[in-house]
Amino acid sequence: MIATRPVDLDPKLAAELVRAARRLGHNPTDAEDLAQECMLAYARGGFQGRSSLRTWLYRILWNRHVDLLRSRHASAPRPETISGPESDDDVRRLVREALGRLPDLQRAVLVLRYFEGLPYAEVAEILDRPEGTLHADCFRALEALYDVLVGKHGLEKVKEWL
Amino acid sequence: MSCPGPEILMRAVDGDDAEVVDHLNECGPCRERTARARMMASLLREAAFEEGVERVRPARRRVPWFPLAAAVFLIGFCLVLIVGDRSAPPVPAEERRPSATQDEPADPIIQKLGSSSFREQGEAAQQLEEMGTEALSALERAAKSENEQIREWADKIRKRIAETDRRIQELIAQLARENPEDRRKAGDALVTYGRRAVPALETAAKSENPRLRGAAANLLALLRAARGGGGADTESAPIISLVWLARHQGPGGSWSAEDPRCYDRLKSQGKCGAAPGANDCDIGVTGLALLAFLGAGYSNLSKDTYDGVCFGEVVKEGTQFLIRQQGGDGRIGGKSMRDHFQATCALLEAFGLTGSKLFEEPAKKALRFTLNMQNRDGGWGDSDESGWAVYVLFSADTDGLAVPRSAWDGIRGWCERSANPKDLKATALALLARILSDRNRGPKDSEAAERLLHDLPEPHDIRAEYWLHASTALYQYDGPSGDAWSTWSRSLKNAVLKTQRSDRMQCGYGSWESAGEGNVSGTALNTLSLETYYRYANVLGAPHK
Repeated sequence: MIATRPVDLDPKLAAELVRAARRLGHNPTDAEDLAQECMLAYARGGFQGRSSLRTWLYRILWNRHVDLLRSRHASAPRPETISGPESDDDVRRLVREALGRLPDLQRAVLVLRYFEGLPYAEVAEILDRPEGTLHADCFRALEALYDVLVGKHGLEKVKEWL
Repeated sequence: MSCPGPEILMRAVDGDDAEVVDHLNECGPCRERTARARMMASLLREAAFEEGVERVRPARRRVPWFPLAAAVFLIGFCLVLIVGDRSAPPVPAEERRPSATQDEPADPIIQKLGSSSFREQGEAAQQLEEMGTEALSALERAAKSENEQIREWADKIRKRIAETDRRIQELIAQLARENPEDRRKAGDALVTYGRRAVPALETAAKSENPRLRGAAANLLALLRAARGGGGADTESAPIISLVWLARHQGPGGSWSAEDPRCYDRLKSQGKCGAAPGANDCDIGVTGLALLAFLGAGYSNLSKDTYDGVCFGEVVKEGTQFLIRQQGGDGRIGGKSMRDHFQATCALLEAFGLTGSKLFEEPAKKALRFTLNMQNRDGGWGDSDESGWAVYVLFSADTDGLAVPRSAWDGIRGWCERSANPKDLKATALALLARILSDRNRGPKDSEAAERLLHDLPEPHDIRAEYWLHASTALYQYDGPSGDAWSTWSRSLKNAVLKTQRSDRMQCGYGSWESAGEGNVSGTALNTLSLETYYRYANVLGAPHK
């Protein structure tokens, strides 16, 4: 017997978790599993109401993501792209590829801040970073993204995308 | 003056730190770093916008829209009654009909494309793109606007809409492919387009190709649930069905199969139009209804209260009723073994959930009686009875109570012998019994799973008991992430959510009616199906306890 509380999550939240997991670099199956683990943690009554439910779920997602990465062999190839709607030649694909090359924390900061649209305070809570540090992390992540994109495609090309 | 750190520069990127502006005017390297970061931030916003990402806002207090809307409607209605006849001259039909341009919901949004605020422009563009073809005629007019900014935006959005439509059509064509992996990928991609994909999916759901039709219908249900159609966004289907069950529990703690009544503890009591089920099986339906509560994690100790009813009280009264029906030999009820099995499952799950001594002895006695009654052929009568015995053994095993190997072998053999390819309920039970007994799966199981997937749940044909058996079996077969379970689960959710009664003003709100099973049974069984993935863990590879 697993459940001690009902799973009555807003389906929209569950969909957000899957999407965020995919943007963190997981394949669809792993992303579903990660989201389901979050929901099961909620079903088991782990949510104490000390933060918003969304923040708490994203935090679990992040912790499970880190656990999963640690449990894999160091030699296993890192995912190179971030999942999203397939498109052939547009900026989105190139940006996703570039995000895939960033260190995990930087990628998570940008995904949560820009793709999931969460405020800094919430991202800081999820990633367990002080808010000021998170601002600095975000700035460094943007600089790292610039280096990757401009390094690969050239400044002129990147400017054309804007 | 020393340069500010990245924390301060990030605030400059976000444009909300005036103090650093002076420094940036003087310091070239910092200015350049900030400009690079700003460029990347814009690019990311653009990419997120292109992907149609809805901005997630911090959690807000839920606004009671329904009472507010009802109040506004009533006030408006009264005003019309009071003032309308006296003050308003009759409006000619021609004037009542809005002009073509005023009627376009896209028009006011298009005006925002000409705003001086980038944010307003971006939000308007996103709204128009989400409207898709609905916005096309307004965009065509906007493309001839005198305002250059509006013209440029209109062109850009039209191209995006056309590109998105093309992509959606490609993905829909992939839904008809033979390879399930291709279909799954296409489905995943279509879901990310949200409501933009709905019109095309609605057309595909009427296709003559059954594979395409099924996949499109499932995706539509997912998208509608995610958007909040039918109340699925605000209250989960299992909760409202449990509230319905709670309201229909009789004063003695039981549920009546043949004469279901509403015993609302707050409102009036009496007949409510719920459909009756079979005669003489109150003990069985009471067991089923309790299983629905226990499966969602509510025990006699729960304090959760919904709609004025404490679920813990419901479980307490229901289990006490069952214990009162138990004879000295452990049998619960007098006539049907099926009743006994369903009631036994409820007591076993109550014991498993709470570990309480209140349930320990009755559950063990009921289990002993069950084991003693196993026939030499390994079954317990017909497939209806033996099928529920499988759940008794499973619940007991999950609770760590001793289930002899011979009992598993017996029921496994019996199910296999009685399985008939045309009888899908028996096929599901045989699959379940094999997996639970052997804790692994073989070629026979794949064949059985394939057969079940040929008869996916459809909203027009509710077969709640079959759905529950097949859900449990397929979840054990390859849940929670396998193809068979995923395919089944999508169809199940679609069929179950679509058929749950959704009229809040009716007593039946939250219930289901399953052919020949009555409302109580149908509601309990469908709730259990929805709870499948968290009721039990997948047992593949796990030893018996």
